[in-house]
Amino acid sequence: MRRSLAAITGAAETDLGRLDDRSELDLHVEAALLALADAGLSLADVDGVTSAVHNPVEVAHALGVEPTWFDGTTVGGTSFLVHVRHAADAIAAGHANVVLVLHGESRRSTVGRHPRPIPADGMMGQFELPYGVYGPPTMFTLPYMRYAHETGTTVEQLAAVPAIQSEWADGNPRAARPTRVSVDDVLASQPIAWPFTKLMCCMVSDGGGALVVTAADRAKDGRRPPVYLWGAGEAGQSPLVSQMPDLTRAETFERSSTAAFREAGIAVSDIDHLMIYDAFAHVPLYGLEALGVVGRGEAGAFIADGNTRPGGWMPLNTNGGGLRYTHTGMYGMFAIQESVRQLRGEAFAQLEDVEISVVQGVGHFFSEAATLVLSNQEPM
Amino acid sequence: MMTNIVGVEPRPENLRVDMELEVRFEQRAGRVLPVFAPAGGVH
Repeated sequence: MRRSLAAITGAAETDLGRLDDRSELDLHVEAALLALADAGLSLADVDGVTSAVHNPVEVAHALGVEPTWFDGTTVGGTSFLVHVRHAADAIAAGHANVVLVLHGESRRSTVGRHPRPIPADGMMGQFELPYGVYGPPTMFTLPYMRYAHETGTTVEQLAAVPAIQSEWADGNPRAARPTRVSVDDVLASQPIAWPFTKLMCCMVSDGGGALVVTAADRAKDGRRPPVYLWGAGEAGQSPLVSQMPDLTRAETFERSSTAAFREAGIAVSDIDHLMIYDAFAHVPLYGLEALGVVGRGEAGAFIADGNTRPGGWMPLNTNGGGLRYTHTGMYGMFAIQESVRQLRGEAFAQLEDVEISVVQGVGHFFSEAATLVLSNQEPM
Repeated sequence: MMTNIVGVEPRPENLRVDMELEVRFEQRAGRVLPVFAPAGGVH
């Protein structure tokens, strides 16, 4: 167990979708105010701020906050899971009392969007970009060819990932893709990067989200049920997808989840609800195997057989995930938000009797990972 | 390593995991890059 328990006491998302009237800074601010209102706190209470890509001091300034602690760790879409872990440690160390973990991204409308250049003299610029790859669709998907070859995972099983997640998002007015799709629908959608079709790839949207993190003893006095951070882990490996030591395993997921499960004192059998960052359909397959939910090569059949769908024994990506709900570019914030909703009993597709939820995040292309073990119960 | 497979039509059936390759060197934008072609010529 963590040496000093922290809790998420406020959580909120902005509108999602096409938001061409709001800048990325606006989205940070809007999310912050919504989450503070949710927590029953005000800006005057805030002394810690985190953000990714955007300088956290710039964001704090927009809020009128002069923080005593800040963190701008930017490691792709898992940044916000890392921020929650760092915030809990900062609170334990006495560096901050009320931390806002903030995300805002105008990926679709590109309003007030800071450039994200890939330096030509960096590793990726020198050794990968000259071959014409650029961006997630042509880079993140590459290891899957080796995975499918070694495990025998079929393209139909890969297509089952978005098809089954579409059952969770079915009818959710906040989901970008709120309808059910079949395996055949997924396979018939536009080819993007062999064998990935459009519906095996996340959508591109605008939106923001925020979390309020405080010490657990303070959380009990809040206006919302606390969501306790039982354990957390993070791990880094190579900045280049081509340098993964084993293209068929998310070793960063293995390391971050092992650390988080150990800290929380839980095993896979304790997990009631699971979120695995799904920028593309293969990431949940890698994640299920890395977390030890299934054995090597078993994830495709596990999902296709219905174990992760509504009513299945391991509910996975219950907001529909990045494939069906939203994906602003750095989706990790929204995976955490869905865990918080499930643990508070306020999700669109609410599960019964959820006490322990695990969030697995990925940064870039398996380069970084972070895991959070969250619960609505105080640890024993 | 990241590279390109050349000397063959870029269709899935032509690009198999574990296929044997041989190195070629191509000039691109004033630099020489190692790329690979199916071993023994076009299959």
